[in-house]
Amino acid sequence: MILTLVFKEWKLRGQGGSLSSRVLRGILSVLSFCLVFAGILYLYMQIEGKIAEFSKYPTSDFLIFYLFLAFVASSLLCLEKARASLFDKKDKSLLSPLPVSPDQIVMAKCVYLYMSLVIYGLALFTSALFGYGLLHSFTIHYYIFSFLFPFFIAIPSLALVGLLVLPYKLAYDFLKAHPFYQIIIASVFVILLCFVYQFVLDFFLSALLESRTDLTALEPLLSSLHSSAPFLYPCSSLFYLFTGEGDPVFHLFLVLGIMIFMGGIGYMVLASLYKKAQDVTYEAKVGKIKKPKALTPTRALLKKESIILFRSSNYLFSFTSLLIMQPFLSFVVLSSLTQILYVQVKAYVTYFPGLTDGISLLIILLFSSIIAGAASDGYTREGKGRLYLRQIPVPPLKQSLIKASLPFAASFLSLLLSLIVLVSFSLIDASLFFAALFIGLILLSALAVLGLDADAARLAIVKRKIGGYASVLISLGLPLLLAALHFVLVFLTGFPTSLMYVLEIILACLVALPALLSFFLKNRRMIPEMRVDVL
Amino acid sequence: MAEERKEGLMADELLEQVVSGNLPSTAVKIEGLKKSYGNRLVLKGISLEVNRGEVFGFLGRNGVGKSTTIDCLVGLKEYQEGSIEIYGLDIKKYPLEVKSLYGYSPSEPLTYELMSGYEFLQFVASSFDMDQVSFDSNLTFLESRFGLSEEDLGRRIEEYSHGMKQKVCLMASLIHNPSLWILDEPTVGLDVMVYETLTKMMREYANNGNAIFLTSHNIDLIQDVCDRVAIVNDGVIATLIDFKKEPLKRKDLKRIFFRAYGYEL
Repeated sequence: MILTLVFKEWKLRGQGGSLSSRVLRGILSVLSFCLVFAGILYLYMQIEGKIAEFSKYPTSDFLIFYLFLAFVASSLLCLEKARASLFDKKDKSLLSPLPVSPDQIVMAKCVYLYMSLVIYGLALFTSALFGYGLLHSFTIHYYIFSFLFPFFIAIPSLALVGLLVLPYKLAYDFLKAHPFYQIIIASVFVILLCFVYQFVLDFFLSALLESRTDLTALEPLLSSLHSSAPFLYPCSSLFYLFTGEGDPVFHLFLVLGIMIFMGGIGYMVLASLYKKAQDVTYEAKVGKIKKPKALTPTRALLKKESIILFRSSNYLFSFTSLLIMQPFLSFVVLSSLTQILYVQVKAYVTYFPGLTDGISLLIILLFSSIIAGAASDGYTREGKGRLYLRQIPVPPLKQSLIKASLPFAASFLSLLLSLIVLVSFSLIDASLFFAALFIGLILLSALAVLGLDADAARLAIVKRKIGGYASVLISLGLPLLLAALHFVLVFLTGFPTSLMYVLEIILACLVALPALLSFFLKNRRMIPEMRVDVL
Repeated sequence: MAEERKEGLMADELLEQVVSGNLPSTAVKIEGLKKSYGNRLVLKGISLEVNRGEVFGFLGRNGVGKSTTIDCLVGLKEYQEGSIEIYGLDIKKYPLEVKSLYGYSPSEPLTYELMSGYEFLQFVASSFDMDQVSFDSNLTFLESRFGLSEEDLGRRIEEYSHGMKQKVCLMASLIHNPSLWILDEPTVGLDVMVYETLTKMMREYANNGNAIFLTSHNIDLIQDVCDRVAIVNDGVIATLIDFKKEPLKRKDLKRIFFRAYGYEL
């Protein structure tokens, strides 16, 4: 029975579907798993190799630190699964009339969460442990331990998930009811990510360019890692137990204690949450209610667009917070890159001053297009309300233009602010500012309409063969094409910069114009040809 | 050529009449409607008329083309042959104009879940370019009829129960003062009080010179409120009953329905 419930859980959380889709998803999952595994293995070996060159401390400190970070990360990743699984009202109502005891349900959910943690662990822990083993030529026993490590570590991880899932659920409900706080939290999160990104970027570029001076700056960090590594439970004890470092009896009892104690607590918490805390939820307070006013159709459509775009948690991390952070992100990345380019490839930069401008233009445009692309599924975003696209007496072209205008305006504003920040900190000059602004304007307008076209093609009654690819092609292809043209023109020394930018703007227009024309020609048909029952 | 121009002029005059509120007596006219999905012909020539002042019931068991007919009527599905007119306007020739003439409530409540009830009704009413006075009066009327408080309508729709969502959809279908009310399974999820209110509202609505096109599996509802009933089978109208002409058949509807499919009660 428990096995059946585990399978049900697996299917319910997006692992079901037709046979072909399951096979395809399975192949993609295996491929992604292998890529992540190989990526972590390679990066771990590179970084540990660099650290071993100059650090006086054992490299196992860094491994334990990494394992601890991975332990926290996998537990946090599993939190969302636990929330969705434990507090699924539909699932509970479907299960309640069946002859299944709550204990069996909880056990099945625990098995499902444990399996998820083991899968995360095989990618995150085993890869790094393999890398460590390869560098230190361990015996086969070590590799068996590396393989078993996720199975052991998943027990305290599950306990951590059990302890955190209720506060997480309450926080989730609270944020869902308060879009403003959602944006604040997401922005803070993205700022932190920017800092981490800058740190990692600096570190890797320095490591790749063999800059010992930059790496020795990490000495204090490695020293503090050395002193704190033994206390990073449970990863440290489990690692020491299997590699024979320290007192094995002490570590054995510590590991067993953690497993039994935390495992027991985790199971009890999950069981009591399932039985008792189902209805514990954050009740959103309804503020002062105003009677609605009649608006013009255009204002009503704009308001609707802003609600479905900015209130949806789907776009919070992929669009809204990135829009706010784009100026900061552009500044962080461009300042790091410029600094490294000036230090490491000074000769090229001095001889070809336009080189950094080309890289800056490429990065600015790529950031803008990727962020804008995240909100290009304007028709899908309608969800169940898509019916009203077909029912209101507003011409399809007008509806689509209004739909495209909001993400376009937000993306363009973010681009403008980014460019102002970059020009204020002298990371770009005035000519690049205007060139990037014009090209960005063209690129974003083309993407706004092409994204809708691709989305309409996906939802059309009769599927169109092309349509979905043009937006991806332009969002990545146009910045790369312009950067390629820029580099070619830079290497033709003596070519005036202003003329270079004019040529790039003309090229952008030539690529984007057909997209805009095709949209205006086709759009009359888009909404009427759209299925409304595909939700 | 001259014939086409004449037809065009007549259609323009009709459009002017309809826009000015001078509606013809036939609310819906479907003629020879054919629709297929691939090689499978689902509608094999549906023809019917719905007049102003009447509630028209469209009955049929699952899979006989009931929902497809409604989807064609409200412009959600293309059809291969035949014509559909709403108040004399062909829905293919005047797709935008006819939208203002009808209100449609789908069988499953479809809304913008991230909006509050008020925001949703504001969106629908404003899309139909309603003025403030009509919007206020319609909203107040519908709020009281469907029993939704200000606090209910101030909350996000995603927090609503199925029945509340259904009520908001029904309110949205009437908020812009349509002259034809198209209802697909309107009573699913409604409590007894609202069910009674809805049936009363349907009668009042029709008595005010409007028309209702109603489909439901609830035979009690159909026999209570409808003036005429069409039973559809195998893509055509199998039986058409006028309760005004044959009042005794009202009580006998269930038996007639079963007989249309070859069963005896």
